[in-house]
Amino acid sequence: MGAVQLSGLRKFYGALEVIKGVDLAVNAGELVVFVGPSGCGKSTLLRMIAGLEDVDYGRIDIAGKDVTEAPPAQRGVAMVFQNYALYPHMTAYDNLAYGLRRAGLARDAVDQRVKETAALLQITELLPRKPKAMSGGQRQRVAIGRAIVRKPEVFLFDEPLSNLDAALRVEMRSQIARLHQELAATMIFVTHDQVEAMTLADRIVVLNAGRVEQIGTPREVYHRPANLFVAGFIGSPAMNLLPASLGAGGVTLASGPVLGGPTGTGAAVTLGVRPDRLSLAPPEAAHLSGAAKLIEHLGDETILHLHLDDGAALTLKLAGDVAVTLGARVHARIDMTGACLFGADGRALRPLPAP
Amino acid sequence: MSKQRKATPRARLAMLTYHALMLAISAIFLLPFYWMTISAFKTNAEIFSDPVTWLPDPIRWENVTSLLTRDDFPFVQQFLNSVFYAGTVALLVCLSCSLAAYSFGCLRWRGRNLVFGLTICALLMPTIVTFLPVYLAWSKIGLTGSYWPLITPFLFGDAFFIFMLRQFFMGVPRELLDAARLDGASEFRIWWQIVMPQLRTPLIIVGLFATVYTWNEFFMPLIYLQDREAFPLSVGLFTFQSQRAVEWSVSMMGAFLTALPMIVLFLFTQRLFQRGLSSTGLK
Amino acid sequence: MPITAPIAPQAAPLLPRRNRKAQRAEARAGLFFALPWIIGMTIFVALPLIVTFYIAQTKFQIVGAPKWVGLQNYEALLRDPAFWKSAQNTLIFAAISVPLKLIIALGLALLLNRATALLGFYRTVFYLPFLMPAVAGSVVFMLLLTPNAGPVNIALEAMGLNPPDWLLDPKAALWTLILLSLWPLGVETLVFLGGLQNIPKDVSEAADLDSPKRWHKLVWITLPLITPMVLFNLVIGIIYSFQVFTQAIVIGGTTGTPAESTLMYMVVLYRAAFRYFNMGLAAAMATVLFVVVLILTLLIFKTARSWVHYEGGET
Repeated sequence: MGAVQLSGLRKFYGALEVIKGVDLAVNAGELVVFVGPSGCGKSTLLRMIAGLEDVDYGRIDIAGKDVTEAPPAQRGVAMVFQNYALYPHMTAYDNLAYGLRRAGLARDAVDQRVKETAALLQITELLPRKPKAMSGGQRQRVAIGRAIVRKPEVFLFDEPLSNLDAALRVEMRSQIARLHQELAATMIFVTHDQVEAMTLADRIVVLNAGRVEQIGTPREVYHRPANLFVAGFIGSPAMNLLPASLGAGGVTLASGPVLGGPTGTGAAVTLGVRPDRLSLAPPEAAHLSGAAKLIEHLGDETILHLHLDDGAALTLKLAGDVAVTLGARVHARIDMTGACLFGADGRALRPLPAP
Repeated sequence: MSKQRKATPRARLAMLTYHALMLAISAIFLLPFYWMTISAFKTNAEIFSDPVTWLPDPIRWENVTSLLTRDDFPFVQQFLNSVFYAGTVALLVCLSCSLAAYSFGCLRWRGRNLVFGLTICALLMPTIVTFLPVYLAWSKIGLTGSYWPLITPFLFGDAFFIFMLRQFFMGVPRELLDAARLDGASEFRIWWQIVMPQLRTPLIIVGLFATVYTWNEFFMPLIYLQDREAFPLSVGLFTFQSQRAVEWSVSMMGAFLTALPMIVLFLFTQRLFQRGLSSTGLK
Repeated sequence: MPITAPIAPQAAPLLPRRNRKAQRAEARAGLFFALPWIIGMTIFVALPLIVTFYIAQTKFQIVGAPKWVGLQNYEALLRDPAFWKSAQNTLIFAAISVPLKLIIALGLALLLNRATALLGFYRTVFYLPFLMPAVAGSVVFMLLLTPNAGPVNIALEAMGLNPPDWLLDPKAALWTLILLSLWPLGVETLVFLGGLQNIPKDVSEAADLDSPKRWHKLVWITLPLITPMVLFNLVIGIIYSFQVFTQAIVIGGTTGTPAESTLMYMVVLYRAAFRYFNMGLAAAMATVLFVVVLILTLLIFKTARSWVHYEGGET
């Protein structure tokens, strides 16, 4: 299993730069997930690695070999597509065998590899069928089989689960995780689904507008977002971002309350607080007050959207079923544990002392 | 809703009116076919008899044999010519147009939109505007009087059928081509092994349309062919009719037997024709 | 494509520009697959178009070399009464036949756009005339419209009308051609029907909820949504009706009997080229036709922006 090294990758569509200099090292055997809003370039980047889009500047190394200008089939990569992309006129067997035959493998070797792979994925009974006669989940398994059978250095997944229903998605997710363990394979996975990213990834790469915003483990990305974009993008409901300053008494909200923490001489900062770090409090102990604008009862928790007095919005995630009436005045208190601070340039300031 | 259960008297009346209207319109549309068919089985005198007869009595089957044995209307030979002409063109169209349509519908390359735009221009270009020099060139080579000028252009493609096929090729997901590229298939192999097998039905549709268009083509064979034995049916019928204007029963039998193959072909493949049409209009 | 002054990426040093290799394979294939057609278009469309413009300015009788005469052919055309008569006939024919055909086809499509047991039958009936070879169809129409013995006149007389002599009366003969052109409207009808059936069900139902009046829906929802099909049928219809030939020559011969009333532009052109072998004059006529069709098409496409409704999305 090979490592992937991207150096200074850039790509233009005409004069429009869609990938603006990406550097990334994916270690052998690692599962890396690209996330980002639609149009951020995550799929383009993946297709560049696959050789389906060309590279204008930069270099791609797979398993220690420069493959920047190699054709897709000679890069040692295999890809699983969003819509499966199974050849509809071929049986599952032929779908799996097609690439091996193109590589010039002997008939017996092809047969053996296909059957091995089918056994691994438990799709042996699907082999004589055509895609039309399979369910979505079965097609997805065959599509994964088509990737595995070629024993690639790197697996590429382009939003492979987005067309499956919720239950099947969870099942396929765990199957991919298991395959990752069993094959010890290098995998790059593109998704816009945060839950998928958080649960699958060894490391997450957050992309925005053709740039890498942050690379880190899921916990790092969640707890220590490198900048305002990542802070706002990762986590649902999104992190509350409140204008504040660093005063003598610590972090001071623009609306007045002093929260403690690092001190300063009045530099403007943004305070990032996850919704679950807010709690209801009596008026005298509260840091923020506002009117309840929207209440989502999820059963085991309640999401409360406030319209603050200064016009900003605030989201609270409260445990249990909390009784609040729409429009009621709500007072909230901030727990500074795990809070993040961002400077005027949007980059994270030194982390607060860990709890 | 109780729509299906019991129609109100009002709805039933509306239904009846609707079908009465549609059947009346259908009768108007079918009248020429009907008249052609019955006249084909009448003698000349019966066609113009007063009062008119709405059914041939007796059915003059001998009209068929008399048409097939005439010297001035070599029907069998011309029928075979038409079959050859339409069949060859249909085959060539399927082959040549699928190349260009694949390129326009599935592949990305610089200049593609320009070339496709020019194709649309060619599609809208009146035939005659480009025809005279082509005719002069063929006559210079000395190949007028043969089917070469009629068939050769289709070796390269035809704007209309390229346009029509492209709609179908655009329906092939790009991911499929990408998957084949990752599997190591060459671009030619992708076309032949991955894309073409999925487009069998569209190819048959285009072949059918090409057959009908060519079967009915009149202008080109009229100009290029001089020999009665070489004519396709459309020109043969025209020549006969303009020379023997009074022999209506033979003309009608000729028209009937010229139209019949296409109508039979259509009745057996209706579904495909309709799919072809709905793809054309979408643009 | 040249990239003007790329900004150095912040994170990485500027690496040398790479060859666009991956896409080159696809681009090469694209050109390769289109090549036969590009060659075909060059040989059979582009070059002949230019040569036609050239021949139009020469005296050329097929044998011998063309002789440059400048605009003489066009001057001859302007003096030729057959040119004017045929142009007039063709314009009248197009101006009546095309809109009438579109309206009838649209009406039929609207009638067809409902689920009934006989839908398949009706659809087939309306489509059949398209399959009829134009020569055969024209011959049949001549018989149908024969005075006294033809069923059309018998029916009209039975209704107490006084039908004209469709084929021999100069006032009526052009109408015969128009009538004949209206018969094969199956393609137009089915294109419209395809458009109607593509209207999403929710849009149609929303319109029903907005107003109970049927014509409201027709005018404000249905018609705007099928304007792309109207455009398609209109452009094709005009271009083809300007080239009407087969029906005209079967019914009117090369002289447009009776009294040049069915003399069509293409017939005169055909006559000039292949009866009188006056290639220069014929090429001049072809050029005029080209210019007229070009202007009309451009006009239609230009106005189309204001009346054709395209749903956002791919073209």
